Amino acid sequence: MIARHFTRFGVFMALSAACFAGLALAQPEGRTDDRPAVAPALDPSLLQRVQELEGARRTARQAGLKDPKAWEANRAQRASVHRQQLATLWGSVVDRIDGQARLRLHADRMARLNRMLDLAEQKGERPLSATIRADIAAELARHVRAMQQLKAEAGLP
Amino acid sequence: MKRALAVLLVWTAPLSLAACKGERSERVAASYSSVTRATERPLPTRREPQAVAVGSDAVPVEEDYEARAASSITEANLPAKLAELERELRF
Repeated sequence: MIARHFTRFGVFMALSAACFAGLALAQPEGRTDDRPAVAPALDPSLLQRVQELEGARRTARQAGLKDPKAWEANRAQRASVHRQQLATLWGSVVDRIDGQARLRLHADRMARLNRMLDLAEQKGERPLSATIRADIAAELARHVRAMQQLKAEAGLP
Repeated sequence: MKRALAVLLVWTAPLSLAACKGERSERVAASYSSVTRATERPLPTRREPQAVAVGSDAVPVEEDYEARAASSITEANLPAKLAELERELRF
């Protein structure tokens, strides 16, 4: 009688141990994060377009800063043109909250980088200017990658 | 006589209680400092809600941050600000 109980208890323990081991070793079936399986590769044509736009803005800035008052006065107009460029470049992702968060971060950094570049160029510090230009290039590439990834996550073309 | 005194007591007790209560509330009101006492100001006029940017106007652009960058970054703090930004970019 006692041996029979022991046998049943042993079978119960063995099954429980097997279940625990199965749970511990199991691999998740689906992906648990919302990132795409493969991050999209950096699109060189997109990066080139962003660099061209930034270059044009930089040229306009250098010319505009000769008259700082006029440059400040037409800020709203410049912002409006810039917004249209972004909408054309990135499409509907600019209307999304997460898209605007990425654009905000980029806009803040670019404003600071361009201000630093202005000061470095005014002082004639070439090595510092080169460093800032390299930082601008890195920020542009990072931003393009971030926006591409966001579009991929959202399933936007 | 005793009965008359008892009746008088019954009638005067609530009156004295009410008087004490009134005095107490006046003392409490007087103890408030000028900071905590409510002032009799006219109610503020209703403020018009600020216009919230919607659609393409809500898209953040570099121009929105130009003024802040110009005021916060100077020749004097340029190296420090650049180092700070580079740390941000590396992160």
